[in-house]
Amino acid sequence: MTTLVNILVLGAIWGALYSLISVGFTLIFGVAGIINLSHGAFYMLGAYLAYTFMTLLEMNVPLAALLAIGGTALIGMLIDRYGIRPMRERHVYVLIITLAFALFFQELMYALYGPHGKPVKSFIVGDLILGNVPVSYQKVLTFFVSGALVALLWFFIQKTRTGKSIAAVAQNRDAAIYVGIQPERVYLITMGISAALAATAGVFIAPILEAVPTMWVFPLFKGFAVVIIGGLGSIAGAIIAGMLLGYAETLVSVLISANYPDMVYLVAIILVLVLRPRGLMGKRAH
Amino acid sequence: MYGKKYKWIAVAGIFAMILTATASFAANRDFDKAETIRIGSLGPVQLVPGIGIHNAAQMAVEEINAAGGIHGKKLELFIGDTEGKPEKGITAMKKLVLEDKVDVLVGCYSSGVALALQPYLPRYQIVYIASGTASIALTDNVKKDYKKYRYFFRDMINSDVRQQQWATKFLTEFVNGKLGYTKFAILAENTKWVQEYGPNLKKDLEDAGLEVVFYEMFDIDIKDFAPTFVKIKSAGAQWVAQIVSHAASIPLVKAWQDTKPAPMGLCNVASMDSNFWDMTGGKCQGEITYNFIARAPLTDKTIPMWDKYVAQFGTNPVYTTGFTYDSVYMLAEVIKQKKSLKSDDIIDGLENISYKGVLHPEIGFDKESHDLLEGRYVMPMVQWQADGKQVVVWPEQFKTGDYVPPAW
Repeated sequence: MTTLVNILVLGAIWGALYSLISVGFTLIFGVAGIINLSHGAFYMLGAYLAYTFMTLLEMNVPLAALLAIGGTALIGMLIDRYGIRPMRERHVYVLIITLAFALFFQELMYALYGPHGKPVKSFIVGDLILGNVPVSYQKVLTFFVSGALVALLWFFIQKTRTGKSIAAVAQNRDAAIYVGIQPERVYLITMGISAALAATAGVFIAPILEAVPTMWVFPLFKGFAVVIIGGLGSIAGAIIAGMLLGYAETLVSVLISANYPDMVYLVAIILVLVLRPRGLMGKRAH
Repeated sequence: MYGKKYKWIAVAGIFAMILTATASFAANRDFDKAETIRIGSLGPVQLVPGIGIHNAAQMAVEEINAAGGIHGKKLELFIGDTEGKPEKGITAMKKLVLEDKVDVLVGCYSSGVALALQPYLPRYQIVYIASGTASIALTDNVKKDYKKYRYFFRDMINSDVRQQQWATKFLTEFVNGKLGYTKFAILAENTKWVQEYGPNLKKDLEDAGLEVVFYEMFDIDIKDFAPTFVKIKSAGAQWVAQIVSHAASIPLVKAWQDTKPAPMGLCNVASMDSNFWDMTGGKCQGEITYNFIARAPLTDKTIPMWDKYVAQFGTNPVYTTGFTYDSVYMLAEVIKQKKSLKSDDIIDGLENISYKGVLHPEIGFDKESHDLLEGRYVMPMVQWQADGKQVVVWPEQFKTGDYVPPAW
């Protein structure tokens, strides 16, 4: 019983985090058609900025979290404006420049903070007892914030004017231009949102794990896996695939070994590419 | 045409041989002609064990120089950054030997790095005391091919026999004998130094009639340990014996504190560092790790050295510190006795030394393997307690406080 509760709780937390990381990754692909290899770096920057504002500058948690997320969103928008926009149509260039940014931020963190893990204190101290299983409030908070942000993004895309512009560009860029939408402005906003979502994951995971310069690689791989499984460009697919991956990995870790969860997403990618190349919710290619 | 080509190949070959010959004589200088004695210190400059190595070497060199040096000759210290990677370690060693022309080497963190360096010792004919590597393979090499590997010594407690024996002693005498726990989980990282240690510890515990209800060698890339601790809890373990050096110690300790499976204590290298309390936000409270040095009277030199180190570097010594500090002193002692920088003289001196250091009153080396002599070591078990205090809880003669179980 205890094991089952643990699997349910841990799976939900990691699933929500994977969804949060991946919706931004799939959003920028769906809207701007680019594969942003610096997406993991936004997650890392979120964690390091949280460390800087909370641990070093001792700011209060909400302000520090907002600054970390907002700061990363701004960095994302600057990358889009000055790094990607000049060569947006050249996909290989975009891949290289976004990878270069990720590696640059990694080296910057090494230079500024060294290779050791940096600690961020839990936002709320204490445990929630669920069926005899202690779950730290930090994890509970991470789950709810991740879920709330994904829901908020959904609402934003569906109901707001800017969100509808994003959806319009994603569906048909030329048609969107005819109705007066400026695609470059939409790309810029989308990149900001995408970076903010990844940074939020980094801010909330930092107290559970740690901030280290190489931490950007893991969310990038997981983001790739989730969008391939869920379907490239599909937000709903990213949410479903994120949750599935979170639970599948937790099941393997708890029931078999913590050495094998990475096998799960690799096997899932192969199966999806062979059996259903468009992913769970992706559109069929014309 | 071919004749000309071969001539150039021959010239290049002779040039390479001259270079190699010159290089091999970088060490083995004439003591009387040497203006200073050059010590090379190997270790990753950004990692805690490496910092512990370089600081200790610096402190020992400064002290020896302050006391007049070796027959009036000052010691000079040169640092080589291994970055904890074999290929970087080789580059660092080549720089120390070929450019800085050091006479002897100390240090190194990571057995994988030391194993990569070992074949270069006969090439450069340079004596090297490794003071932060535990794999038995290193001293086995000396035993198997003494002529080739005689330049290598280890001032550190090997993992496969001695750390494992000490771990068994702690778990059987203290955890089982004193605390009464009988069900153990062994959570060991999958790295070179643990490959024999982990399985043998499991066997030792089972042979002692104890139950190992969970045993896992985990990949060092794992970041989320919560599922592992869930399994440990489900298995009914009463004590978690962790063996961690290269893995992500901070997430591991945080997950342990969050999951609350059972008390945890054996070996966590990062947890030996006095900054670990801050690094984990205090979540290491209750964790026990053996250390190779503690602020306890291991010899009458230990506490003075500890206090001076803290005053000079603003942090506590770590496990590599005591070994490196003693190694530099032993090399200085032997060079002084022999009035020689010749490798074979230094080897002879080290093989016959009985040195009172900060870790043991009679440090000495096995003549066949160049490993530390049996019994010439202690490993105090140190627990993190309230307010970030590191307390020696075992063995009795070095205790600085009582064991406190985790609050949960």
